[in-house]
Amino acid sequence: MPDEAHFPTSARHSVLPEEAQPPSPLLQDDDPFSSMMERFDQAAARLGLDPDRYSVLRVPDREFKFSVPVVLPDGNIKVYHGYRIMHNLSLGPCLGGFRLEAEVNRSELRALAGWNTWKCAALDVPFGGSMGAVNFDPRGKAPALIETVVRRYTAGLLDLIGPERDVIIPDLHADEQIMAWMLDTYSQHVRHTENAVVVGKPLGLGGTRGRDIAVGLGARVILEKHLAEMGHVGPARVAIVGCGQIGAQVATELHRRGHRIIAMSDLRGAVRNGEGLDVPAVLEHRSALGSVAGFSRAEQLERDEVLELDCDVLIPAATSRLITGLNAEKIRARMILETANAPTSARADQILSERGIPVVPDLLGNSGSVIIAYFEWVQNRMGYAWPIELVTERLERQVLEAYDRACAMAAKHKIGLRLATCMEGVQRVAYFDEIRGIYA
Amino acid sequence: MSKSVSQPVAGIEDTNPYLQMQRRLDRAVELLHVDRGLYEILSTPAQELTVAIPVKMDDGTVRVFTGYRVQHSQARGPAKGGIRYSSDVTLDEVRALSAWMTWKCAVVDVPFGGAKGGVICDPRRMSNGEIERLTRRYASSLLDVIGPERDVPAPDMNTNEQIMAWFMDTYSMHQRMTQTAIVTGKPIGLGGSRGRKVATGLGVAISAREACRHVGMTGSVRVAVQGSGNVGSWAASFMHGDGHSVVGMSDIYGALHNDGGLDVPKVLKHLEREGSLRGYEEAEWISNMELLEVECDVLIPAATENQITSANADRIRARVIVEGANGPTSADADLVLEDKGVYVVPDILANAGGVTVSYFEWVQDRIGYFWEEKDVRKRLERYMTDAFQGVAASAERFGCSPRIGAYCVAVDRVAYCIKLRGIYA
Repeated sequence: MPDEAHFPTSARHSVLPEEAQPPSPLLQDDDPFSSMMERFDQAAARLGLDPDRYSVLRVPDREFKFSVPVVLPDGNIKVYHGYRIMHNLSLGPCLGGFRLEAEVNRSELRALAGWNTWKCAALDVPFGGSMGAVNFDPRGKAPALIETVVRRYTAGLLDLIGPERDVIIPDLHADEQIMAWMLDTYSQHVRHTENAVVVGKPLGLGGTRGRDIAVGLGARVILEKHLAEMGHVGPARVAIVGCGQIGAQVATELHRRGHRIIAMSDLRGAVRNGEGLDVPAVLEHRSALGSVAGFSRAEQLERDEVLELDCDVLIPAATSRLITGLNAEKIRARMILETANAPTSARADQILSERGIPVVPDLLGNSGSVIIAYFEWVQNRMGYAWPIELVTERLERQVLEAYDRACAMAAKHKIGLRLATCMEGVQRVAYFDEIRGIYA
Repeated sequence: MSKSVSQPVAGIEDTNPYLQMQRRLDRAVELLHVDRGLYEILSTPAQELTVAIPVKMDDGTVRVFTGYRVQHSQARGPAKGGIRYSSDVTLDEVRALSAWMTWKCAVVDVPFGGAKGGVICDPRRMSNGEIERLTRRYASSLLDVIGPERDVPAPDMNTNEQIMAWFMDTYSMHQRMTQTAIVTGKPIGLGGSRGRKVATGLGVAISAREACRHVGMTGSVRVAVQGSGNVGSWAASFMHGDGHSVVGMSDIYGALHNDGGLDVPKVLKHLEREGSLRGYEEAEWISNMELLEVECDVLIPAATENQITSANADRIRARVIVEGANGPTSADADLVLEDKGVYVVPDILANAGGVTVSYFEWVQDRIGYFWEEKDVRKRLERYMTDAFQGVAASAERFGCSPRIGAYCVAVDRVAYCIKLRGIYA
């Protein structure tokens, strides 16, 4: 019964490669919060949001900054800075990532916290959005120091977090081990094991089955439904940009269902096979040699050529801002399904819309990650782990329902799915904020 | 400890409150040989909470205000510090003031750390109902971080007994029991302490008396008091009552000056009647800045910050300055005054009477038994004189000004607690 995932080896201490965890988008603007809010403003305007609701939703409910003093291995003291931003407290507990990075951008944290609010609401996950960070980059640091920082960070948040208050998910440089330390610190303070305070935990310590396939599964069911609605019959021809955790998951799932993955790429190159790549073989090649490039049963391409291939579906599964005004004209896919965060620029969005290429936005495309986090929390609360069949069945249903609501919103307002999904989220939050009213 | 850590901007006089505080902290840290890590802890607020405060306004619309609560240190006990309502509130200012509270509590040796809170709003343009709703929502947003054993707010700029009562009520409703020790500065009868109104002014007068004794001035001295709010008017009254000659008093419009000494009770009656000192006949009418430079033995700036700067410091004629206000002297002016041999009783000592009686209020709330006014005054007297002696001894030991001496006392006490407690996790 116990498999590898049950017993993470000590070698796994948080020095995983960057792409091992799907981080939220790294926003590069000077003021990411304002940029995020532009989309919210659009959604609010179209929804005709009441100015009062608007003013409440526009600012984070709470921002907490605290000092994280730790004793370094040499005996000296160093003070790091911890942050936790809770954007909306009216839908349920908050849910949001925890990042470890040298430079923390507070505006970016605000943006991501807000974004998580709309995301959870659009997916019918009963959480508000939050985001947290500590200005400490764990790469190359001693595990004992990482543990100390994480534990003191957690202790600093005891007043605010909890299964019913704010639930933490791993983000940049946070892994299962870090989540386990957080869980343990919190549990020691409440004097009982409380695993629902963090999600993304190892299986056996409250982790859920299906976490490693959730994004792929969610992307696949949307892809199939969207193609069917476009009148497509039979297996799809898919090109995938990015071969990290997300890209590999998506490729595996689509391949398993009989779709043809005609191209895959990573940072170092790309491969193509019009008949469909042998995905498990490609991934094996990549894990042995570090790249898909050089895989024998395929034609070698330049990395960026994948974007311009003739295919049914193009899946950007790597970095943000992949599709921009510079390359959007050259895309020959019939649809785009975003599983990376924010891969399409606003300009590219406009071009694609003029060219009639539908885009399934990241919020739906990688919705599996939030929904599976929610499922983990539910299972922790009842203390009963769902079998994999139950997880996948419920995940599929929840993804499809979110997709259908977004489609209905898009049809009603004659807009793209991206804005429609955001509107769906904003509308829901505004509604609950309003009926709860203003206390005091 | 090198000086470079605070990075003061050369040639520009810092009026940024956080940097002002930091410069003085740096001097103390240097004298005490505090190590780098401890310095980082001392100069970083432990917790800063920013909250959105949605308030239903009287016209039915909703406005979202921003509120802060910064807890600089809880090493010595619960954090303590006021709440201000003002459109000028910034996080930086709240941070600086929270640190100031840590040092102030430590100087007078009350078992508190420092905190400060603020809401960006203009209470003069808000109705009572709006201010009440704002206060209640702000209080409930802070529930996670405040408490009699955690962080105890108090009134500050534009907040008063009524606001403290609402704050206490909101907290108590959530606790499902009356918990008066959650704030200080409450009305008497609702957990307030006798003697609180006069506390800061009395503390200033005690400091002035001790300082005069320390520099060898005996008998009646001549005093100029800038500001006639709660602190200034009581300080003037006590000085007058002790037989000193109050030669100047001021309000925001200007100052009264009479070399022969003002009849303080009469001036205060005039102030109460007219709402201003202006028009009081037995004195000449001068500006606030002129008041600072009048011939006197003791100058009590009890109005607002940054009154004595490098621009006027060399024209001060007083022998002793007792800072009734917070931060009336800039760090650059400090150096000028030190050269001139002016004995400055620093704000964190001189006006600590207020926080001391706040501490007494908290103690009385916890025991549920209320002291007579004479007991409050007697105990305040002891705290203030002990603190003064401690600061004077520290200044002597380190060969520094009383201000830096006070910072040394405070930093040493806080650092001692942090070291003993160690670092958790």
